Amino acid sequence: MSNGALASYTFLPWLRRGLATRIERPDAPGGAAPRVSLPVSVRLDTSAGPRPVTANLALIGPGEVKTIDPRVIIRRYPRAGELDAQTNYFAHVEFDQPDFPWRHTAARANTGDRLRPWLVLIVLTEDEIESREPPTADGQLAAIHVRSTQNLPDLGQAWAWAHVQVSGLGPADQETVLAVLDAEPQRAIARLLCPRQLLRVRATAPASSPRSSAAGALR
Amino acid sequence: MDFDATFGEARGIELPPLDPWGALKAALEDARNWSGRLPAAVVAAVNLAALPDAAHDVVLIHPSGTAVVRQRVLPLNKTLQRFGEFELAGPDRFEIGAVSIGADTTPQWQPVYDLLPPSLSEKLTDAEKLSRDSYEPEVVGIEAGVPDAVHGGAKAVDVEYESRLVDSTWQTRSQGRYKLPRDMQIALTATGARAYSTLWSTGARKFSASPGTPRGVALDDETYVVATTDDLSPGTGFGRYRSKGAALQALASHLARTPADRGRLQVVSASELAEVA
Repeated sequence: MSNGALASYTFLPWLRRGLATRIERPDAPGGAAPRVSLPVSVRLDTSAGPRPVTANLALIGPGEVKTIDPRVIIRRYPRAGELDAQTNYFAHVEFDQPDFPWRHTAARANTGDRLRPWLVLIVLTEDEIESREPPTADGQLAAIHVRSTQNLPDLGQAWAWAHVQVSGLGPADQETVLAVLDAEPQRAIARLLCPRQLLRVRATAPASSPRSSAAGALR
Repeated sequence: MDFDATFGEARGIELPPLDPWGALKAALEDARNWSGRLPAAVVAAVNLAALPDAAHDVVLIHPSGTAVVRQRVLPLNKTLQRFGEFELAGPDRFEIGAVSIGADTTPQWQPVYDLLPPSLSEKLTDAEKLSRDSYEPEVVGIEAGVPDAVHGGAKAVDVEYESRLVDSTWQTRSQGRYKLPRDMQIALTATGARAYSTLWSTGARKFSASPGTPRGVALDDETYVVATTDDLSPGTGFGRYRSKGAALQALASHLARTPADRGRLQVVSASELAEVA
């Protein structure tokens, strides 16, 4: 039975788990490194004194990602081919894995609590696309060439267009978030938006299809 | 007809003592001995491009998981009597003392076990060579875990729902706003897009337990204890050991301190002790 609490959404500007939580380099404008190296040290105690040993481990960065499993996307707005979508909503995709948009970012949040995702959502009209490269047999993602970069999202503001939404959590601390992620994962999703108003014309529909809205990695 | 004869020239070939630290250090620093492990709720969901040839020694670890190192040079946390075919020079025990990840000097970690031959680190008699298992679980590395999740400042907002009847593309009617109980909202997530994600309902994961679901049955590894020889009651001051070798080493250490217990204690499988109890 209900305990009197009402429905709520808790939004997180970014979420990371695992080794990525120990990345030390803060996110900063400009070219991001392709990957981050994380030193892991083990101290072995012996009768002759401590024997330290360190291994530098490379975390998978955006430059290593070749393809995305489309099953990780659980919702798209507008849906592919949808012609009467409400244009007052931003186009967005939702991910099954709540830390997915920041998983391969080779940096940690900066002092302003901002962390850019490693991928962004792009919305374009047909005539803004110069050419398309089809996916290759070895699994390389489809790519597009645009006529002008002015219509692409500002990567410096990419941190603002991704978030985590947790259902029914209320005020969050790390323990409660982790408990939800592990025990009730259906309550947490990640969302990636494109801050571009959709046009009420036919050309907007294919622009939001998975193919032409393929995420561009921050490399 | 019995006979006892020795043929050939008796040669005593002695290998020089060897300090295992060099080989152990190289193994722990070798990136190829490191790997990543993902929590049950995390799916990689990406395919990786092949690394260039110049980066052939780079091992990529998944950022959302833990780091695991396994080496097979020698068992850790165990007193060594020998190092392979060599007598020991230098320390005879390498105890995992501390682990750090980046600037974090107190991350969670746990020992990693793998099967190693007892003869790698112990001087076995012929009888022991026949009676002991060929391979026993030993500590071969660590799993440096960071199980927590870190996130930016949270912002919670109450949710109001509104039912709206869409009569036509230009006319809708509101049926009023209402607030949903939190329990009902959480229950509804069980039928949401995330709950029916094809990431979990297709492929191999379709047949695995959902994250957060406790396993109904789990097999435990065999463990060993020190018990008395007359009634199999647990020996005082002993624990439960993952390998027979570790239990035997604990017993030998005890007998060195308390010779009166010689013949009164033995190493048995913990399951035998449970059957007696």
